[in-house]
Amino acid sequence: MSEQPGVNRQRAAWWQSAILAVVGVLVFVGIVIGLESAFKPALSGTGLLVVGVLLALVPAALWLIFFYVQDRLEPEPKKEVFKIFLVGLALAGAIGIPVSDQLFRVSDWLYRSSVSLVLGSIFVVGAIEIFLIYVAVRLFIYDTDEFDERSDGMVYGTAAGLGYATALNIQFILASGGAALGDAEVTVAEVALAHAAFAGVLGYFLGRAKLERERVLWLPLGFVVATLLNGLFTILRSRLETGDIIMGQVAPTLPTVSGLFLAGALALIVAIVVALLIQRDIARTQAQGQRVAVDAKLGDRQSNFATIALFVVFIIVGIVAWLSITGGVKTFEVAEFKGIYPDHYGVATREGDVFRVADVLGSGAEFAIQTMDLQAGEGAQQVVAALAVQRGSDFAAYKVLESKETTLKGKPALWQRFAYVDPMTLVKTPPRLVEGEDYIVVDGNRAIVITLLTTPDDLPDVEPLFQQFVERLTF
Amino acid sequence: MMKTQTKVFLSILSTLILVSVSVLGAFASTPRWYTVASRTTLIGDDALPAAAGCTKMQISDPALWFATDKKGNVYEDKVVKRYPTGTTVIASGFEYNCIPKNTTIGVVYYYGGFDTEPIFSDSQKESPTNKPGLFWWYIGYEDRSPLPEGAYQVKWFINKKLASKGEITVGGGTKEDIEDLEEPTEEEPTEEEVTEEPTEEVAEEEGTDVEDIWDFGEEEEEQAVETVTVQGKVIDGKTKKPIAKAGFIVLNPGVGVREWAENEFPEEDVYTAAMTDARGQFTCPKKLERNVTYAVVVAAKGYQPVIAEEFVIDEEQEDPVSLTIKMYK
Repeated sequence: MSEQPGVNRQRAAWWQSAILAVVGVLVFVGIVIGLESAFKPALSGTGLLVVGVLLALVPAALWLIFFYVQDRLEPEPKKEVFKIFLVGLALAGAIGIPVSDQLFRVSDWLYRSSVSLVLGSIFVVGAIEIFLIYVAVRLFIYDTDEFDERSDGMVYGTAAGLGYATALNIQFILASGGAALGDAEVTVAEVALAHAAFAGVLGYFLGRAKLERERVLWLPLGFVVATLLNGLFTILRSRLETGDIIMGQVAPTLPTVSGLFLAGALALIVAIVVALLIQRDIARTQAQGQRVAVDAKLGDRQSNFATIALFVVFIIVGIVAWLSITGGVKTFEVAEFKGIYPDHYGVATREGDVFRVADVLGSGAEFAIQTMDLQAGEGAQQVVAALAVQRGSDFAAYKVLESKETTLKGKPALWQRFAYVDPMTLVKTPPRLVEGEDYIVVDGNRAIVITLLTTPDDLPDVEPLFQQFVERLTF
Repeated sequence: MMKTQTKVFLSILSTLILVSVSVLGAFASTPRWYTVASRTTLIGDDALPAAAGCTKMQISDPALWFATDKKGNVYEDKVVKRYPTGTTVIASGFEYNCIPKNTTIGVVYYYGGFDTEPIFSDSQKESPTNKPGLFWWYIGYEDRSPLPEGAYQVKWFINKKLASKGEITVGGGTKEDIEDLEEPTEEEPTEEEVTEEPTEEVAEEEGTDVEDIWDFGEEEEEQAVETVTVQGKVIDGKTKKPIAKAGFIVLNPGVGVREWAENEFPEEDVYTAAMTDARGQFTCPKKLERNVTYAVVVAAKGYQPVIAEEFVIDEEQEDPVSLTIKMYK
């Protein structure tokens, strides 16, 4: 078997540029913080957003520049590298970020407990990110002739990872409406370095898979290692940046850099370790002869399918975790009332309530069950009137927005949606708009009132939970 | 090159230093307890039934917790469900029916759970009696400084056999947490009963009105304890942008965040809570007392909760105290 040109060449450019880029990014962040502290630029609105987005591109740009400079002697098509960068960016923007944020709504539940942090970081966020970086390299460059060296895995993997990170960073800048420049650059650099590291690890596995006849499980192993690294980074960073309660007025402080240093260290370690591994692989190949997988298309396809299958398994675990964390319920039994309420709600029964739960640590939404005695001939309309009097006296601008007759547990019921302004008796506390729903069921000589209280913003999220609360209630 | 003997010597020396430091450190951190055991014969028939010839000692289970004051007085006709903040002495005890011969009563106090290291343990042999009575054993710091807030546990042993146990929280107790042990009978005690089994080493002062137990605390605290308005701003630690709709929750003294979470976030454990507005600002509806330890949780959607188990506002803080809270995703 003849040796392919370049297969056994250690591409100095990759890891040198990687290390230089890490150092360069850290230096750049320091410069931005220093300049911001010295000149205190009065940027706001669109100007701040534009500058923020430009700064979000800097880490990737720095890496590409270092790569370009270093790669003069061993040229890799810049067009292809940039293409993979754009593919990574596009996949993140079109699939990765929407799926994580809109479908799984990871930020709503990731920090609910240590278990949710571990499962969400690895099986949802980590799995999605690494799989899309894998897709970017696998579908868009892996099978071409340009991917012909071991270190190409890292080159293209890192490019895809930086593309993904750039999409995350642009989203971060836009979502925050433009952050202070130093603070923003710390976050941007942290995300970029961390993703370059995860993608570099995956790239090492891809490079070896392409150039050597590896076992079917080699690529799935790479996916697992990179995903675990991704998840562990999120967990570790959250342990480093836990938040503070500071006594005293807001004072300008330097940005929090522990996450950035963690990402920088990770990127450096990955660059060095992968460079050493490649060197070892080359030495071994030269000693034992090349095992180029020229005719190993079948095994390669199987490995690819195995990686996809493993991703599916990871994502199924992620879905199960997501559903059990967000859909977990507790049961209750008070008097003759039995039912369920969301796992993360706390019991908040007050005087006059049969039962009440509240999302104390989250939206503040409340589900309450109350009963009212009825006189002969009285029905749901009298309850509606009584509620109007009570709420009208306690709060401002009470209005019933919608009302309809319905049934609940086979009994005629009245449903109404209402809103009022809670004036909040405290000085310096602005009034709060409350929106809610009542189910009023006449049950003999009493009425059962099941109420939801929340804000208009939270209503779409809370309403399905309230419906579940009502539907599972027995009395 | 260092000789082998020198290496061995240095290893042993460093080990000895480490061990010494650890042992001394352990001693240094051990609180110096002041304890008193006491026993009182009950006059009425409100205790467990008297035994003609005492063969088996029966004691109340769970253990009782008697009202105490800061001077170290124990009010054995009053039991408490919770001790107040600033309590200097806690007294656990039990009712007994009689005490047979050769009875040794042992006590073990814990702080923070039965699975922790005991903070105090002792035992003593008791003289026999056929009369029912009360037995208690109080503990407090020698310098009469307030006990740390939190959950205390006790185990009572009769002749080394576990006979009763109980748990109490120090911190947050109010006058409503005091209850009469049981109403004594109206019947006049006989002379014999009155003189029988005199109380030994009871710290209670003659003529002390029980009402003083909590009044003294309230009076002192009304004068000394100052409340402070707590307000602040919650910001994103990365972007420094304000976080809207973040909850700032202060738990009752003595309630820890972990305990609150384990109990499924009951609202009754919340001392006060506030939610931030669009500018990330909040003001607590209820003032906090100075020098009282509260547990605080700050929660916002999409952010890691910020937890402070020991949140104290000391004299150096102005009123209102302004907080800056940084949260991270």
